[in-house]
Amino acid sequence: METKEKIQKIKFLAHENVDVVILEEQEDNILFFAETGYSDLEMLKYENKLRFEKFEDYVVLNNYNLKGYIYKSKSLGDVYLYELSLKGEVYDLHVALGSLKKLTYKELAQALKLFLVSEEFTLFTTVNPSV
Amino acid sequence: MFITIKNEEYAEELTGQLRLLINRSIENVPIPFNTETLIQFCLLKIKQDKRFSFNDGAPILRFSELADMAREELEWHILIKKKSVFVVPQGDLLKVFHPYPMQCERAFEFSMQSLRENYNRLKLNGKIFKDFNLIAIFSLTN
Repeated sequence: METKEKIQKIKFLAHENVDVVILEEQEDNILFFAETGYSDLEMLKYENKLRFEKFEDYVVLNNYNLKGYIYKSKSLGDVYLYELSLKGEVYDLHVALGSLKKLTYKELAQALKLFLVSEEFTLFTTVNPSV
Repeated sequence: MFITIKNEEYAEELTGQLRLLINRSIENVPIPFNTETLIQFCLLKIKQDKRFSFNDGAPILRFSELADMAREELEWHILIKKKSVFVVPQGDLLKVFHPYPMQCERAFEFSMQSLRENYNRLKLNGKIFKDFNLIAIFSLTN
């Protein structure tokens, strides 16, 4: 499948149970994040009977903890998800950074940097200023 | 947790009916209430309605979206009935409560009309607010 088609597929996911935002379109990969609502990926897996497999934990940039999962997608193949949960005084934010290939530590840090300048994170820090 | 229906074909119509059910719940919720007890009351009404079930059939709404819907309908109800809301400023934001937030030392009484006319409502769909009397957040700048 062409990268362009994969992007369309990821955008289509946004109409399903989670919101998906593309962070960066690369030649051989797509970086995105999915907002998983009030729940984490384990809960989403249980609710939607999704095929997630936990694989590794990471501590990236400024001690952000990311939990690594592989999502066995029927149409996109293996999708790598890196879950990030942020606690706020008004609401908690649960997101998963996504990639169509396994990221190196440096690439993961770059994906996280892109998320930290996204509208979703900016809104979170505005509403929850103590974060 | 999902609110579900038997037949996916009627999803659009029944989502509308669900919103109507929540709207009616706001009219009938025992006073005093806060948004947490309102959501519990809505869930009770949904459980009593045989058209809807939980995690059994075609999903039409997630629990977090129910909280959004209840907050939206409460905001609309306040607007229509010209009731007051209670506003607590926080930097460039206005946190809007209903009923009065007991844990706040000082909240200003506003009409929902003037808030909607003068400020920008932040879209925080799918977010479960930790303060259950908080119904909306507006920003000072449009």
